Amino acid sequence: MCDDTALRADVVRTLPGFSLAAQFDVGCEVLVLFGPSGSGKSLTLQAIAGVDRPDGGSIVLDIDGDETVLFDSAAGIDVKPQQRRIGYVPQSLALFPHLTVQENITYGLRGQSKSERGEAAKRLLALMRLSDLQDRLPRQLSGGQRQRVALARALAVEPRLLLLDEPFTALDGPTRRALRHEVRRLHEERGVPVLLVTHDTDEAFALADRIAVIDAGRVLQIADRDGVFSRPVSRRVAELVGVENILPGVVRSVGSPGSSAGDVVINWGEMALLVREPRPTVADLTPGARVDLALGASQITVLKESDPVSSDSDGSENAGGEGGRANVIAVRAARIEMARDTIRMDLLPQGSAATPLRLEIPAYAYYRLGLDQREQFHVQLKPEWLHLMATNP
Amino acid sequence: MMARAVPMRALRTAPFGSALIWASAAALVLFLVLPIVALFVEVVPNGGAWSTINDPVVTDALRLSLITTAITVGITVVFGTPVAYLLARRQFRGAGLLDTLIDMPLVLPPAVAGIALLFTFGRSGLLGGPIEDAGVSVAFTTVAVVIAQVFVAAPFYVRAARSGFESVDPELERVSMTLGEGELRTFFRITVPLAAPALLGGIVMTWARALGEFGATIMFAGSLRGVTETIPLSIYNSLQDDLDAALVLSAVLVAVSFVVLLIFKALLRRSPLSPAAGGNRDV
Repeated sequence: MCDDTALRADVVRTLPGFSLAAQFDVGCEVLVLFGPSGSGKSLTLQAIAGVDRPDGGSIVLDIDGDETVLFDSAAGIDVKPQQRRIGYVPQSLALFPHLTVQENITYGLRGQSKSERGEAAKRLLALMRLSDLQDRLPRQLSGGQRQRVALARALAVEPRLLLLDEPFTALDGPTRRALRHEVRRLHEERGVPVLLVTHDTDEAFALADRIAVIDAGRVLQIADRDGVFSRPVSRRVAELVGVENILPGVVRSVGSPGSSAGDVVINWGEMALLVREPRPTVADLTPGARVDLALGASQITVLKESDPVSSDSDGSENAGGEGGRANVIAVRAARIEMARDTIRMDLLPQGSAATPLRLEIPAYAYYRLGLDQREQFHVQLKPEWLHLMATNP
Repeated sequence: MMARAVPMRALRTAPFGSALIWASAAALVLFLVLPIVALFVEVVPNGGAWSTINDPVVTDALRLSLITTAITVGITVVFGTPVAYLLARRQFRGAGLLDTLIDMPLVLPPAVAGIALLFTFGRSGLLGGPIEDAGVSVAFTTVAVVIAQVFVAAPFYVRAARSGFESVDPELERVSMTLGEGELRTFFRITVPLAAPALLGGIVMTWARALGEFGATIMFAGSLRGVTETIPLSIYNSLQDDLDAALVLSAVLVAVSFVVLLIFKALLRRSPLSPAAGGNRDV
């Protein structure tokens, strides 16, 4: 079991045309290293596993106050991978093709007696639901089974940290969901901290206690799921995690008569939007400063025909009023994309040249609101769901 | 294990009549096979020839060839394996040059190799002088036979071993190390078993080349019965006075070569490079 910190990583690596300088801590948790391909995620894992040697920085394991320096460029420390006791499952899994499932799993247990190895194998085979497959060769297994063998093999040596590199990309949907569940279960049952690399937002969302967003070799934000997906620190993070609506704006005023704390009015095209952010992360909120607004496609509220529409697209008017409707916009559907149970629409705000808004709405709501009948309708961008971000430098 | 049936396909490819192709193919095959047939036509019904199999000329040559080629293979594996691994895994300046130098003996005429060795290890050679001063003579001894064989045959093993090592995914070695196994253990538990078909293939080819070595040996080691007269040299020497012995030894070499080729082809089919052996990545 681990307490709050398990690993402190500061990995500096310079390659031709690419530089990595990633700093983050892994606690007693599943930390997802999320980023596009080529962002340096895999390189970071390899450095921690010890199979790639960084050019600078330090990597320190800290398990229950028991500190082990694995790498320190200043002190000239570089512990060999075979002495690190860190479980490493690469994207290719790298199952040993000439060894059976059982031989793969017990590969790291050479020092133990044959009966001890047999016991360990039995335990791990049961844990990973592989019991009938012990004599198979890797090529005789399905994708999900291979994945579980790779996990079992890494767990056999009782690693102090488990590194998983894009573990589920080659698997089909149901298998992938089952294995995500498995990883969470292993983490919770065995208390082993997990650092998992992925470029898949669903995977990051499903697995992570915290997410570190990495891009071009730099960690841009580390936060819990809500922090990253709903409150990204910058436009780039919002783009990476797939926030559908990123609206460029200019600060008009901070606060307004009778408004709550954290109210900011932002000009978005010709419209003024009220944003309610009690703890804004953007430093520069002086009028005229450029900011970006983030809003998920499912966070746009569609108003019923009977709803009063009192706002005249001037957000400051009804700003603080209880039950008042700020940020109500008349829109027209420009494009409709039907999925099985959700409907995505591009909405063009009326009377303005602003960019379209992306809306995602459950199919039942789409029909209940009669959107299939209405050419024009009103939506509300709720002030507390709009999020202010720093514009990219 | 998982041989797959490949359906015969007859795609139209050549713009000229197939009769011409068949005829030229038949001519070449005939040309390649005919000398071997001729040899066996001469030797099989020849009872006199088979009785020479116990002649000291023949047995001495057989024994010497077996011993020297075994030593050659041993030396080649011990010294060739690290070089092959280095070439397969590390990128370093001069790798291309090293690769070319190692391949040189493959294209060098054996007679030239013999002279080159003479000027290296001979009485007045580059290293021969100091060795001679120490009271050791290399040229025209059994040691010289082994030196000549290693020189011409080792590149076959290094080439094969290198491609064998290259076919092993380095990720497997990395994972092995994270599981607590050091570099040497990883090499013997992962790399060698996976490269084994290529390594064995290289050993077989090296052995076959060493067994047939003639030119460099006769120049550098001479032809002394029981000391430096291996099978090919014995065949050459017997040709004048003891044709039967030459025939039997030739037949032995042909048979050995054929078996070697069969083994080699079988190993190639089992190599990790071939799809039938099954990789680790196919899903």
